[in-house]
Amino acid sequence: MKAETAEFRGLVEQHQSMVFSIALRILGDRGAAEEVAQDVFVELHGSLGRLESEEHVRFWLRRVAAHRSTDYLRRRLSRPEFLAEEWTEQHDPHAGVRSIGDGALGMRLEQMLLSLPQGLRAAIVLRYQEDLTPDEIAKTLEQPLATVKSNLQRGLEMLRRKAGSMLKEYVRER
Amino acid sequence: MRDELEQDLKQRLSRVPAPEGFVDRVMERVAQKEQRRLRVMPQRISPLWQAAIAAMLLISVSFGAAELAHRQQERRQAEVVQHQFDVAMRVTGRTLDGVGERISRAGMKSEKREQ
Repeated sequence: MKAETAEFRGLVEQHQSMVFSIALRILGDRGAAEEVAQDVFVELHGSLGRLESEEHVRFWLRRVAAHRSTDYLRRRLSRPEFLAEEWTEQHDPHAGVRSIGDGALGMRLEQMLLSLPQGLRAAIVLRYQEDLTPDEIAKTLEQPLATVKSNLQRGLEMLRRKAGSMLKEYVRER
Repeated sequence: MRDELEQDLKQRLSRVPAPEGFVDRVMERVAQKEQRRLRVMPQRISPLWQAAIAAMLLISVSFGAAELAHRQQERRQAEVVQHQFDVAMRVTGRTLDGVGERISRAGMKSEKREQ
């Protein structure tokens, strides 16, 4: 039992950064990201018997982290008592992602990422944070490859447009 | 081939460390979940207890079956007694009818004689 606990602790230590970062980049809020990441690992503990290899564990964690994060966003948005101000506060890029990245550019990219629709956000995070191929993203998110490719293209296009307008604002401010 | 934006994304979207104490908090939640599960589910039962429970179940089933057979036998006996009673009542009824008829016939004869 103790050996199992130590082994599980090792898994959490090894993958905590990956799971937390996926949740944080999809949710944009450190508190919510930690809650979701904890849920993912508690779920992992119950599913360990079904996972066959280290690679399988990593794949499972990415998939569940992405799904639980988007589920969390959906739940928050569908809650009747949920107010727009709360959302703005929760997803204020200055409040949520202040510590992500290094410097102004990193923060602007995080801001832009959080303004993307949630479906596109998950694909972009898995593509550029986790360096997955579109095929791997399709398997992870359980979506058709064409949908993933289209989401990545649309996401990048939206980010390019946002980057363009941010750059103009930046030059104007200067 | 990746353009500038893609390179920036790759560079800036690196993994960030989880909050301090994250692993401990996860382990605590897992331990709590395990405790709840153990409270709900009984501990693994020893073979001796398994045999005792099986024997008790077998005895209960045997007693149940014997009781059922006894009740069915009693019901059958009650049905036989009921049938015998019905037959006796029918015979008695017919006998009484015959006696009544004879009495009324004897009564009619004595009336004629008196007249």
